Amino acid sequence: MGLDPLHLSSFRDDWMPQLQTAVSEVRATCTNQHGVLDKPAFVAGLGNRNIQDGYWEWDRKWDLLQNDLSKVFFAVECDGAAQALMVVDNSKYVCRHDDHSGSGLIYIEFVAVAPWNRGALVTDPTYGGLGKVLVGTAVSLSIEEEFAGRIGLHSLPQSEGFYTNGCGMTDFGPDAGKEGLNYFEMTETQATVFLGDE
Amino acid sequence: MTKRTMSLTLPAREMDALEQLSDQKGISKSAVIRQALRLYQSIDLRLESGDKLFFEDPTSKEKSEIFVL
Repeated sequence: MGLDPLHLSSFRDDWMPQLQTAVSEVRATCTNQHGVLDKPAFVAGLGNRNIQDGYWEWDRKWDLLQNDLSKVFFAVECDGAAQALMVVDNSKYVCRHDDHSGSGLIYIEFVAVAPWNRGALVTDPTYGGLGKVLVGTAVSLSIEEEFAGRIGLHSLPQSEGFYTNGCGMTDFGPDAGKEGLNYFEMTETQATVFLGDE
Repeated sequence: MTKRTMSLTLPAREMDALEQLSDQKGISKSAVIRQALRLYQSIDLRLESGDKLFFEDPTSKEKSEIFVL
């Protein structure tokens, strides 16, 4: 729990160059001869390569939020590098699902795996299943916080299928308050099923 | 995560309030206190940055400023 200098340097020195290169490649294919960017095509292109998070600055998030009691950071570390990162909120969000309306949950603010672990970005990802590992970590924290496994999040478009089909979460559809991102929630029952499958 | 333990003495009415919140929220008294601490820190940070804290009546839209120690 928490990020250390290894995780931060891994993000800056290993993740960022690969992500920035990939974002630049997509941008180049979506920019016309007059230098005008086709924004919808650019967003779709980022999604196709699973890099819609390419502008997330994990080191800046850590600088701003490391002392905030309501934020908890996690890193999956292996082979001397950060293989995946996540930050959750443990106090500011409540359930929307009818089964637990108004009850507390763990809200996943940001979650991402290293670029070399993304099948849409590299031919042969180094590690798989890291998304589920971190979702499982959020569920475990939810149980520890007495939220009985309930979690929630807003998904990047590229990841919606993962949360619905891979994690069994309920899709509440676009949330106008979060730039139209779809909101997902895992109920206590869904959390039990999820942990049973892991 | 490293944890440390403290004992807490409360006046009866505050303990009653804590127990009521615990029952209402369906979480332990310790969890209520931890949530309260997070909320207090969050509010304190915003106030220190110059923000103000208000409640708003949903019907009249009237705002009441909240002052925090």
